[in-house]
Order: sequence, then C-alpha cells, then structure tokens
Amino acid sequence: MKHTKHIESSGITRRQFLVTSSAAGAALILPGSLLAIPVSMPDSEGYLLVDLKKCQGCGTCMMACALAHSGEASYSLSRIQIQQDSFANWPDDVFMAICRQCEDAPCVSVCPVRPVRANKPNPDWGYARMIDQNLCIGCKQCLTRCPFTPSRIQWDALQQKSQKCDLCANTPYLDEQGGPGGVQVCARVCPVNAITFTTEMPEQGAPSSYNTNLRDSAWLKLGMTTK
Amino acid sequence: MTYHGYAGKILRLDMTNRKAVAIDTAPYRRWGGGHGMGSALFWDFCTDKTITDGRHPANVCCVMTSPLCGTIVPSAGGRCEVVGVGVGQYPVSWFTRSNFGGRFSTMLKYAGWDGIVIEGTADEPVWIDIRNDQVLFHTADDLWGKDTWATQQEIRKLLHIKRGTQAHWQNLDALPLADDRGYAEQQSDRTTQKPAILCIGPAGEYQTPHAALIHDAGNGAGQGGFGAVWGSKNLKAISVIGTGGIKVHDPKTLLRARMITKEKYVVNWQTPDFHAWTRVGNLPKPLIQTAMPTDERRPQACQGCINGCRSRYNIGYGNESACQETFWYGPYVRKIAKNSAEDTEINLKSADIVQKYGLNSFVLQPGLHWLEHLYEEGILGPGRQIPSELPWQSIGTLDFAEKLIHALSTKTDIGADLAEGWVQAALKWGREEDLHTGALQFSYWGVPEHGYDPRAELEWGYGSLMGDRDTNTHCFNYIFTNVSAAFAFGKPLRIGAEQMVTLHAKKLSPYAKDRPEVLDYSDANMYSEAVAQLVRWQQHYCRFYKNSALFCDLKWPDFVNTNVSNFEGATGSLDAGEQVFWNAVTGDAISFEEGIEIGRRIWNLDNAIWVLQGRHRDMVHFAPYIYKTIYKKGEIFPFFMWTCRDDNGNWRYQDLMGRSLDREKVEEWKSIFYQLEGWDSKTGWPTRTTLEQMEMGYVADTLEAAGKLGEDAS
Amino acid sequence: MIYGFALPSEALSRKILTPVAFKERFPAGRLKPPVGIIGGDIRSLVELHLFLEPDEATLPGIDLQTLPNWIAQSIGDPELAESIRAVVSARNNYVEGCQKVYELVGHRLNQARMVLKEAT
Repeated sequence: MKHTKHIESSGITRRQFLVTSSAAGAALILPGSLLAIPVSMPDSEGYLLVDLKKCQGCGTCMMACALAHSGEASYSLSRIQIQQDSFANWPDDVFMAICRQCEDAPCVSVCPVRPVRANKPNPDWGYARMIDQNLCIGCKQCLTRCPFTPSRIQWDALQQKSQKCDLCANTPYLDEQGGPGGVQVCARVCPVNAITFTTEMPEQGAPSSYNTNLRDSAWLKLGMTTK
Repeated sequence: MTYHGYAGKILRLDMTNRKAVAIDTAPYRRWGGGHGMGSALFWDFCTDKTITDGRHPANVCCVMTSPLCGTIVPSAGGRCEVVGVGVGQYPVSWFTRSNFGGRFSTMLKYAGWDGIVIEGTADEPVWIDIRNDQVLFHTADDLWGKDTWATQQEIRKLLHIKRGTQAHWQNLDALPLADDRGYAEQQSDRTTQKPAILCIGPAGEYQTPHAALIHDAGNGAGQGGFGAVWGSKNLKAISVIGTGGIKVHDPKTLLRARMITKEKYVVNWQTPDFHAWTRVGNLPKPLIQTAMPTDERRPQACQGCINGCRSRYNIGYGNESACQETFWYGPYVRKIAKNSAEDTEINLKSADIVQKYGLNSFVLQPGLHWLEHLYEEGILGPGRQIPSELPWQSIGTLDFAEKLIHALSTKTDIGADLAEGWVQAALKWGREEDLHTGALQFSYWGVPEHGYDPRAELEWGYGSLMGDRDTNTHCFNYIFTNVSAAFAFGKPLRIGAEQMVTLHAKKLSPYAKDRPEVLDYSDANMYSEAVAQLVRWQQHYCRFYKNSALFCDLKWPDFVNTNVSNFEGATGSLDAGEQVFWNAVTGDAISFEEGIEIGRRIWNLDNAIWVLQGRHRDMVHFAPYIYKTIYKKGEIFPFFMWTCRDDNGNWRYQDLMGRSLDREKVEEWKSIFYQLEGWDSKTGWPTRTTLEQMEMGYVADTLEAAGKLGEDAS
Repeated sequence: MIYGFALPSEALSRKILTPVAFKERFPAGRLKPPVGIIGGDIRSLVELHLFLEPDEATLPGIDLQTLPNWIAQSIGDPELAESIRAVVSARNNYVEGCQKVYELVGHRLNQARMVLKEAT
C-alpha cells in the first residue's frame, strides 16, 4: 500500500531568497516561511540496502555508478560513496554511504526551486527522489540539508549542480533499464553482493536500518562470519 | 583532444630543484600505459643508461598507471607499475619493474595524472602532496624515521583527514598546507575519500636492497628495491587526492563486459564451486599462507577487483597482508609456536613488521633458510666467522623477527654485509660454494627462487632468465598447483592433460596458437623451440596486458575456466577478453594479438636498455646450483605435476621433480630464443631490422652509437 | 583411529619431546598458490605435528616414505615409525596419509607428555 505523508520543511534564510530565470522558464526560490507548508511526498518504491561487514572495498560500485550516469569513472560523481580506512579494523574499516530515499527526504523539502522542485519524488520512476538537472540551480541547499554523513547528495563541480541516487533511473550509459523494477548498477556489479534492492521501506528512525546481513552459506564456507 | 582512459598528462618531478612539470601523455600513447610508458619515459629522460645501481642520481623512477586504472575493468583498475634501475641484484641491477595494488593509481588518475616521473635527488627529505593539478613539495623532516604506516597516518593528520570512516565531503581548497596559489578556479572539488599515499619506511631510508614502496597497510612494490631508489632521492612519500574522473570511450560495452565477467566467468554465489579451475573467476579467497586467524573479517580488494585476495580482521594485526609476507617466517615460527593460533599470530605480526619497515620479505624466503644454516653450522653468530649479535637461538619468536628486520633495514649487524645484495654478501663471506650447492637458492640475477623451481617449471625459470628479475608471472603455474593438489587429495582431475593443453593453445596466439606442444615440459621437450615460443608469448603478453594495461597477475590470463560449460576462459574472448576492455575504455580497436605485439615492442625497448647497461648473452645464466644439483624428488613436496607427452605422444600429467638443467642445452635454448626474437644470437642484442620493424629505429641508432647493436643474421 | 603402540618410557618420552640436532633435520615444504613451494626443515615431533595440522590454506609437503626412518633413527621411536609406515602404505592418497600421520604423532605426543607429567 502506498503511503503519502505530509512533511514539514524547515526554512532557509532570507538571504537565500533569490529569483532566477532561464530559457526553460522561471524558477522561484521561496523563503523559509513558505517552505514550511507541508509537502505531500509519496514513499519511494525502492531502496538500496548494504552489508557493511561484507563490502570488499573495491570501489567498483562507485566507478560503475558514475560510469552509468555520467559516462566517466569517478569517485566524486558517484551516488554511492564507499569510505575505507586501511588502518582500521573490521567492521569499522568500511562505510557504505547510500541514499536512503528518505520518507521525509529533507533534500526534497529544502529544494527551493518553484513552481516545480528540482529535487522531488518522481512518479515515473517509483517516486525515487530525483534531482532534475535541468531545473537544479546549484544552490547546494540539498547538499547541506541531507542529515547523513557523508551527505548523500553529490556536487557535480563541472555542471555546478547537485546530483543524487535515482536508483539508476537516469542512466544513459547503461544498456539495460534502471530504476525501481529495473537494474541498480551498484548492486549488479558488486563482486560480493554486498548491495541489494528492496521495495520495503526500512525503518526510518533507525540509523542502521539500511544495513542488512547479506552473508550466506557461501560466505561462511569462505571462512567469514555470517553473524 | 579527449583522452579516453587517459588523464592526458604526466607529472615530472625534478627532485633536485623541487619543480613539478606537466608533460603531455600523447607522445607516449603508443606504449599503452604502465610499464610501456614507463620504459619510454625512462628512455627519454634518463641521461645515463649505463648505470647499474638504482641509487645513482641519474636514475629515473616512473610510477605509472594505465588507461584501465580507475575504471571497473575486472582486476585491472587498481594496479600501478613502477620502473627504473633497481637495487641489490647480481651481477648488476637491471632496469626493472615492480607492481602494486590498492587505490593509488585510481587516485592519481582522478587527480589528472597518468604517471609520475621522478628525477634527480632532493637535498633533504621531502614528501610530495598532489591535489588534482596542484603539486606541493614539503619537507619530510618530521616523517623521516617513521615507519610506513606511521608516515601515512601522519600525512593524513597534516592534511586534517579524519581517522576511520563516515567523514564529511571534503573540499580540496579547505585542506591545509596549500601554497598561495589558491583554488579559486576549482572551488567546489569535493571528495569523501582519503588520500592515497605511497611511501618508504626505514629500509628505504637506509637505501637497503629489497626495500619496498608501501601504500595503505599492505600494498607493496617489493621487487627491484624501489624503496632504496626513493631513499636515494630523499623522497619519503607521495600523497595524492583527486576529485576528477576518467572519460571512457564506450561505457555501455564496459559495463556489459564487466557484468558478463561476473555472471558468466565467475563462480556463482548461489551454487558455488569452491574448487573451480579459473583465475579471474574464483570467489574472494584470501592468499594468507597460514591458518585463518578469525572469521571476523572481510575480503579486501584493490580498486575494481572482482575477487579480493586480502583481508581486514577484527584482531588488530595482519590487515591487508596476504601472500608470501604472511609466511616469510613460517618455517621458524612453527619451531616455537605452541599451537596453530600462536603460529598464525606470530606470522601475521611478522608480516606487519615487514610492511612497516618497508622491506620485501620475499628475499627472506630462501635467505633466512640460508642464514639459519650458517648459524647452525657455527659460521654465523656472536664471535664467529660472520659476526652477528642477533639472538639466533630465539629464531621463531616475534622478538627475533623484529630484530632481524631492523638489522636488515638499517644496515646494522648482518644487514651491513647484506646491504649490497645477498649474493654479494655470500661472495664477501667466502660462501660461493653455497651458490653451487643450492644452500643459497637465489636462482637468477641475485634474487630468490620463488617457489616454482626453474628445473621443473620452465616458463618461470626461462622467463626470469631472459628478463630482469624473478618473473613473478603466474600465467601458467596453476597447472602445477591445481593438478598437484588434485593428485594430493586423490581427487578426479577437473580437466585432463590433453584438454588442458588444447584449451591453452587456442589462446596462445600469435606464436603458439594450436600448438599444445609448447606446454610439454618433459625432458625431451624442455629445451625446444616450442618452449621458447611459450616463453616469448608470456613475456610479450605480460609486458602489455599485465605490466602496461595492468591486468592483475593473479587473475589474468584466464585460459581455462570450469565455470563455463566449454571450459574456455575469459582471456582473449569476444565478450570479456582483455582486448574488449581495452577497446571499450580507450576507443582503440586492437585485437588480442595486437596487444601482444605492443608487448613485444615494450620487451624490445627493455632489452635495449639492458644492453646499454651492459647485458650480453654470456651474463645470462642461472645460479650454478640449477645446473649442478637436481630438484630433489619428493623432498619438499611429493610431486610437481605438469603436462607432458609420453614416448607415444600421448598427453598426461607427469612429475617434473628429479632433474637439473643442462648448461649447454640451456645455451642452445637461448640461441633459439634470441633468433625467434630477431636478436643477435651471439650477443643477445637487438638488431636494426627487428627494431625498425617496430618503428624503433631511434633505439637502433642509440645502440649502434654505443657499439651494441646486434648483427642481422646473414 | 586405534593406536597400537604402548606408552613410551620416560627416556623415550623425553626424546619424543626434544628437537633433534640441526644435522638431523628432516626436509619439508609447503605449497600454497600463488607463492608456490616454500621449503623448511622439521626438527621435532612437536613441530611435525603443527606442520601437519590441516588448514584450508596450504598443503604440507613431506616425504612420507622416508619419514618413518627419520622417526626411528633421529627421534629414536621405532614403534611410532612402524605405525606410520603402516598407515602410509595403506593410505588412499597423500593428504589422507598426512592426516593419519598427524593423528598418530599427536597421540604419541600426548602419551609422552602424560608420562613425563606423571614422572614429575
């Protein structure tokens, strides 16, 4: 069953009240008082889950993500960020930062572009929270508003626009269908299957609810714990 | 111009004047990347190619990436090649190579560089700080004396990089220590990643032979003594952080081929075959040489690898160490360990020691065996002919390991005599006989036997002999390990001998296509033209695909693969072969064989450098014990199985132990090899005809000017 | 496995638990791809037992045919040597032989430790 919630958006400062225009039409950035109006936001129909104890830190998901979306291999353009510290011990040596397609999606709420937000649940792609690059004005509000560390919003320095995980909906360099119901490149290429896709929304209040156990009997046989 | 796969520029570091200069990659494009580019850069920028000690100020050390680095090409994206004149070999140190994995080459590409050429010598210790286009020289006074792990952590601290994970996005312009250029034009370049740091430890600082370059906890360029080369240049570390990307010519094909590799050639996770015969297609098995210390671990991989071979544990030691360094001390630890757990703990902590000191532990594999013999025979020790105050009576303990590695790294105790090389020390100590008896098993060029004895495994031995170092090229030797293990367990063979050689021969184009006899290692065939063709194939394949394109030696080539119904491996295949990936990334349209031809060109350039260094065929021989003693049957392993034909021409797996090499027949084999390469068989020098065929007339000119151009066969 | 040998004497127990001189060492190796065969010597039954302990990563390399002679002559335990000779000749494959020797040696070490413990 589809849930639609009313989300309170917190404001931005008056200093950020700007009006811009473009050939495609006018985009309005609204002040905080107006943004506080509840926003209807349907749930995403897809989520990525990861196993922090399983990832082998090869970065393939990052490079493949950037490749499928942008046609170039890059860490900085990847919608999934894998961090590792060579001098830390398992399991704290690796962190997999995925966009949570949040129920309340602060990055969506904060998007100041009007009348149509640049960052919004996209009904064509299972309400995945997606940034429309044609509408993004590069204000970086979503970057700073994402409550997670590192921010799940990336900054495309060349385009001067924000970008985020779209569950591979917009992957011009992938010859398969992406998005909910399609392929998620990071999950597909992961050599150890440490990333998976689900249609069930993980619990939103729990910080580790997107971290799941994907280790199976083969993993155990390879001499690694499944606990 | 768009450089698909390439960053487009190469960084020249003038250590003497502390200057960084960018040069265009384009003139070196024909050499592919990695080793090929490095050799070409060495050729252009090393002004004295007669030097035979890598610590000479004229030496040029190149740290090179490939177009595939920083991409998802399976088990190719994360390797990095180092070339230059080495240290500690015998009779001279050749222009040589080493290779390491991890994140360094990826970061270097993303920072906008295809490689680094290190020239000259700094007047005091420095470290290099690369942030995209900005290259900073910093004094390394506070780093000098630190081990490799402490060095990296200190550099992170200097750059205000958070320990652990869950770090914020970092703007490059917010990093400290920048010069006054600022970052106005790049204001929002961001990354969540840690800098990749390549550095030396005490072994490199003291310029000891076999000093390594270390990156992260366990990636090392061990062979060649490049740690000593850096030490001689007063170069402690290079840190690189990049926020860019690499344009790929055909991302769709690249993504598809990567998925085909995973879904067709790699073991299926749902119905896993843990004993598959394949190289690229195994699940992530750790290369640790001891019993596993704990199951609380993850596999840990180089960037882009399809099956990580290292581990990070929860126990606080042994992280990222794999392969030989986890067992350099093994035969001694088991003399004192109370149980398997203690055995593993001491071995892994001893691995940490060599990683931190930055010392290539492979030299200790046969080397420590030899020193132990000298001690036990009353020759080495306190007050003895070879004085040593090390606590030899406690060999096997962690304390001894630390003291030994300290001595070797700092040129103290026996480390002083071993400072020019192990064979040199043997001669100094009057132990030449040990090279004849095999007490010191350093098989070629003053470097140790690898574990694949040249008297049995021919391509390993011949390949090392005709090259510049222990070849460390695992193209074929899974034939030995897989078949011997099956024999040991009494298991049925997954692939019979005839099918095995036939599958290989399909992929041995151009020199040995459909010539299975090249893999006949029987006594009757061991000095043949066929085996010479196999060695040529291996050398040329590796010079391009492994050393230049930087496909991982442990995963490629994939000749046979039991995950595929017809057992044909990924190598050279039309769906996920090496050339498919190369072309998808670069936009080239080379065939598999054309890649090998690039490798032949690189191999010829290398040989030209060796010739300028003084190589002549008379120098090209194994250590005496290889000719004088037999590989004792069953003594250290019950059998060494390999494909052979019997007297009736039928293929079977046969034990190769129990033989030596015949010196005169090896000389005849060398002549065959030289002729096949188009080199002068009297000298081993390249000829003008051969070089000009490969558009290397300028190399022939240089050799001719030096009086070292081979004569064409009349 | 049923072990057919009697408890060793106190003197033999000491021998069983004592390393032999360097000159009496027994050659051995270890195979693990991709390193290859790594040589090393065995100088005691304690070491032999650890050496033969099965693990997933490596295969011990030892000459099972000549091992009994070494145990009889250098260690000085002909009874154990004879038992090993029997299991080696009856083995189905090399690894099985190693495992059976491992069990025999382990049992003998336990016996020797027990005898010496009782003696003290």
